[in-house]
Amino acid sequence: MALKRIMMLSLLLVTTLIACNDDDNGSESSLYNSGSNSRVKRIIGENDHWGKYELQFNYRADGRLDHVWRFSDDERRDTLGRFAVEYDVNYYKFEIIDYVLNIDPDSVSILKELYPTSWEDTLCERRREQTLYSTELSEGKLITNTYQERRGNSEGTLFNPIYMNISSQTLMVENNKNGRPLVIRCYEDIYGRGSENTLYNRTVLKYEFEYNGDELISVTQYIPDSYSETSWTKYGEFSCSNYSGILTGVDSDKYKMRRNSKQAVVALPGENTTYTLNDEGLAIKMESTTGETAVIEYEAGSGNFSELYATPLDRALGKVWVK
Amino acid sequence: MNKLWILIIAILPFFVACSDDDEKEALSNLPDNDMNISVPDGNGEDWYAGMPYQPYPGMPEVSQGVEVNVITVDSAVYGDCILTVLQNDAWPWTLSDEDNANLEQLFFPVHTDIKYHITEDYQNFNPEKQPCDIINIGWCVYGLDEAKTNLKQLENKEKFPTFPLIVMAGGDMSNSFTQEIWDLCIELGGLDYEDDVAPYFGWDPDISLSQEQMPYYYPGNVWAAYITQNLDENDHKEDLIVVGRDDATGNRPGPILCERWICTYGGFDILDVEMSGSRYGSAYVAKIAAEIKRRAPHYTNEDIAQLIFSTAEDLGNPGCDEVYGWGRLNPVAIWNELSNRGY
Amino acid sequence: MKKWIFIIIMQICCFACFEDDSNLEIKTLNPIRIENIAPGEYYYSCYMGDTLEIKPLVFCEGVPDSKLSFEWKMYGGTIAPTVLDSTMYLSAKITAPPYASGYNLVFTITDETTGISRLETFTVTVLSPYGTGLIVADTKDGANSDLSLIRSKEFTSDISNSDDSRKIFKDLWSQNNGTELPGLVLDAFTSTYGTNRSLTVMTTEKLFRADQNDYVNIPSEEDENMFMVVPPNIGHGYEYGGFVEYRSTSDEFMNANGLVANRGVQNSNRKYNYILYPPGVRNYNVTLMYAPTNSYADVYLYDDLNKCMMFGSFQGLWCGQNIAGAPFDVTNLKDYEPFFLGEVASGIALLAKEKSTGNFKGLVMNKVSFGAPNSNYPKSIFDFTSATDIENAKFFELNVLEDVLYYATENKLYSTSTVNINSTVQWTAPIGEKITGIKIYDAEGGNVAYGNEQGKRTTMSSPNRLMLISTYNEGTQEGRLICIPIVTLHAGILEQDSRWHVQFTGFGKILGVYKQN
Repeated sequence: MALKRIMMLSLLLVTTLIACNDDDNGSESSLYNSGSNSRVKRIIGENDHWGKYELQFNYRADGRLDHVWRFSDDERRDTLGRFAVEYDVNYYKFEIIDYVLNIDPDSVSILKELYPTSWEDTLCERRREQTLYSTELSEGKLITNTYQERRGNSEGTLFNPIYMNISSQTLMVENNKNGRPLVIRCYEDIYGRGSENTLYNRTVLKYEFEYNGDELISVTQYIPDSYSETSWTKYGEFSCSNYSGILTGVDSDKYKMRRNSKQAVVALPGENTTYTLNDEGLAIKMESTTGETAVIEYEAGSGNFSELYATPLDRALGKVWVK
Repeated sequence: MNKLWILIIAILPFFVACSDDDEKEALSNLPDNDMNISVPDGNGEDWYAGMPYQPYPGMPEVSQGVEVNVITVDSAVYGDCILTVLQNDAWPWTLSDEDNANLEQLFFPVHTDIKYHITEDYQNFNPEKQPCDIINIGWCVYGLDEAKTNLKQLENKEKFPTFPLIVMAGGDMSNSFTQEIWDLCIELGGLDYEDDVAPYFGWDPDISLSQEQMPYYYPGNVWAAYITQNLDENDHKEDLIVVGRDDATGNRPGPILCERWICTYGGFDILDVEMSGSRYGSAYVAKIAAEIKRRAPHYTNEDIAQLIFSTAEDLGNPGCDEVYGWGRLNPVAIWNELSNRGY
Repeated sequence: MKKWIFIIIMQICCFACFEDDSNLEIKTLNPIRIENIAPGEYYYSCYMGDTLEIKPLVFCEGVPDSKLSFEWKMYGGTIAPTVLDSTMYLSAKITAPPYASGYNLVFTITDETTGISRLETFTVTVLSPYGTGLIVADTKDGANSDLSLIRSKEFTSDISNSDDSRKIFKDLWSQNNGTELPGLVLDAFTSTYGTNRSLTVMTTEKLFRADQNDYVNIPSEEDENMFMVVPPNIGHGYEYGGFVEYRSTSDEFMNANGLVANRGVQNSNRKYNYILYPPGVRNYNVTLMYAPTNSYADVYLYDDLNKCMMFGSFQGLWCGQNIAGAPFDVTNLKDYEPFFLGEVASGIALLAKEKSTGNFKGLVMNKVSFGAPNSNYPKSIFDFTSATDIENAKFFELNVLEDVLYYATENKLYSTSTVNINSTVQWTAPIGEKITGIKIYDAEGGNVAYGNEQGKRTTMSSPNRLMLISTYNEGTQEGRLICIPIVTLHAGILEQDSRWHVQFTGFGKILGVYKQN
């Protein structure tokens, strides 16, 4: 009888110990933890710039993104570009890189004539890398740069393979105690055209996030104002709706988002994108009114792709559906 | 036994309380939102290259109902680029502060009354017998015979019932069309460097040019000189505008062409690529001339030309000089003058 | 017993699962951050009257922005510390006077929750909106005059060589004083010696004084008030006269109706001394006066009363001596009718018509500093009678860098070497315009562009390489200033390609051009 009691009590003891253990989500502390169990493995899609493409994602052992390759959609599966990441302490640099031809169309025709069998190999040798998009976290600042191919180059009439500057964003993020963004201060730089492509027009902005516990209620946008007592004037507002701690809608002048269990819709001026979601709330299909489509496949594991390509601001506002 | 059950019941809440896997459940239970959202597409820029037509201050919307037809003759490679300039899809590569202050007057979308056509056939400028009010020639001619033949094409009443206004490029060589060079041209029948000039002087055309030889290297558009100097009494001087570059590069008119010479931008932003040459400036002048013709369809070629010359911003020596001709094309002054005249 | 042991152990284990809620509220103070200002952007310059804007992004993590207070305070020079703004961005009109050393602008950010401040210091150099450049005096009605200021890279090194913007501040005198200058301007002179700045203008009616930074007339320094003791030639209008600078001490020499006085500029002196007289000379009439602008030499004067040369320094005037064997006698110029005094490479040259022969002669004198009556002044004579069209020449100019004579009729500008007379036309006035003056820019500062042998843009310093021609069109009543680079020295060749000619239009009849320092 005494033995039985001992065993009951030790059962009580052990279960108490076990129950008080935190749930570690089953991963070790040295592995990357993105808060979800899947990471993107492959994307097959079509857009204006790349045409039909396939992206293959490769990760390191710790879950961080290692490399992404972009292939053409035909049987040959030529490598047409890549995504590259570099890591260091408190630093990373992520780039979406295109391989562009470094020879003008006239020379290409000459090559074709002179070397009918091997001209394509020569072209491969004569490629150069151009960055389409990059993000860099350095010294506490996150800087994204967007570039664009010159329209004349893609039409083959005018040859200039160097991508031109479009815009740049610099973000300084201040987090609250829960690790969520509290204030994001940022510069939006828009580059000029023609001879002014190296000069930019800078707008300084501040986003202040208001929470109720863990739920984001609203985001207010401010611009500096030397005539205001507080030095800042309200410029815009994003009002957010939540359900059980999940962001289900965002409303503002220039951006709207809605989601339910199956879908998420992101609306920007003149462009609507609909994401079909899986059970984890990640997009498996994407369709945009501009004609862009994509099918996204996932694999088990944690990956940091969305942290690399999307800014904390975009993630907080519900623009990011691929992880 | 009862105590055991009590224990188990006491322990159970621990399990439940320490478990946190309810997010998945919430995700699948989200309410159905109104997913039909959109944001109006307000284009950030008011005035941009390639914008659709809209009236702007200073340009009367009233359509005269008369079409203005512009034919561009150039090879396919350049032709598309020239069309982007004509159609307001390409603006100059560098815009000065003054240009930026007057965007609407300088770079405006083309009215629907103005039609552009392009042909690659140098032997047949108007294969489809389109009506033609203005013809834009971006390339230079270096032989007098060729000049004569080209002019004969334009005099062909079947192809060109009315003689069009010729807007011609002045060339990009940094030379001046002096009297001496013109006399030489008449003597040799042309100024092609390999065929005419080099043999005349006994120079080897394959060796790179010396200081002495530079001024003779494609010094200017011989067809423009043929017309301006009224060779063979062609009597078409008043139908010609020759276009040069206002940035002190490119050919200069010299005494031979200065009377019909106007300067304008040399470099344009064509589909994000910088393209320089007087052929693009010539397209820009043709665009302005077409708009003048649209507003005053009864204007003769000389009326249009004189309006352009008289309102030009004087550069160099006052009046018409041998470096800048009449000066820089000034569309703002042109529209003001047209308004004053009631058009 | 064992029962109790188990119960105690169980309780201990429950405590073990107790979370450590110890006080974690040790607040780390974050620094106040200033962003969007690059390291080199702590130096600003602006013109007086302009609005200065500095746009730093300031925040402190953990501190709400509303708890930060700001202050922009400027001090230095002669101003009292002034708070310009109290918001994050500075946007304030700068009314502090121009100050070359630069004012200190201190930006203080205070975290009101802790009372901690951060200070950043900027340097603000306030420039005069007018600044160095070229003054153009003109008349629109033939009775009154006005002054305009040209600011372009040709006349000042404040403007970068690649900056082709040209600003003309038109009619500055009338704009800042309400009325034009009475009379026609004979000469204008600016001097800047430390903080002793002056613009002195002589018109046919009066002498005026202003600060060239603002062009506001200083009535207490007008006409007779410029003198400690008013001499007889002052206060009754002026027929002829002018100013030169005695370079060694920066003294301002004024010739008014033939009598010469000087003003020292040290110790903030604003007044002229007595009329200067050479020993033994009771009266004289200076009609020509010259002092080299880029070397420390004496002032050279021609006395038309006594028909001789005089020489001067800040200490006074003296006459020369007749030196045996010299090509000419500086004490006896009776046979000459001088009409121009200037400087060529060989020395100071007096251009005159020889009465007895009717020939045109240039009397070249050695350039002497701290000279004395027995200094060896006379050097050589050159004869330029054979220069083309010299009888019709109305305007003359010489260049210290070359032995060249420039002269102009009403329509043409000629040049010839003085060693070998061989005139060539360098510039022709367009039809309808007449030349009203020629002057070589001989002051400091500025760069001018011209075409090299390949016709490509090249630049050189402006001093003594820029010919300024003023013309007037009777029909349109418009005066024009044309600036032409002198491309070949010693031959007097001007840039023939009009692409490199800089012109300024919209004046009345131009009376003269002067450097503003």
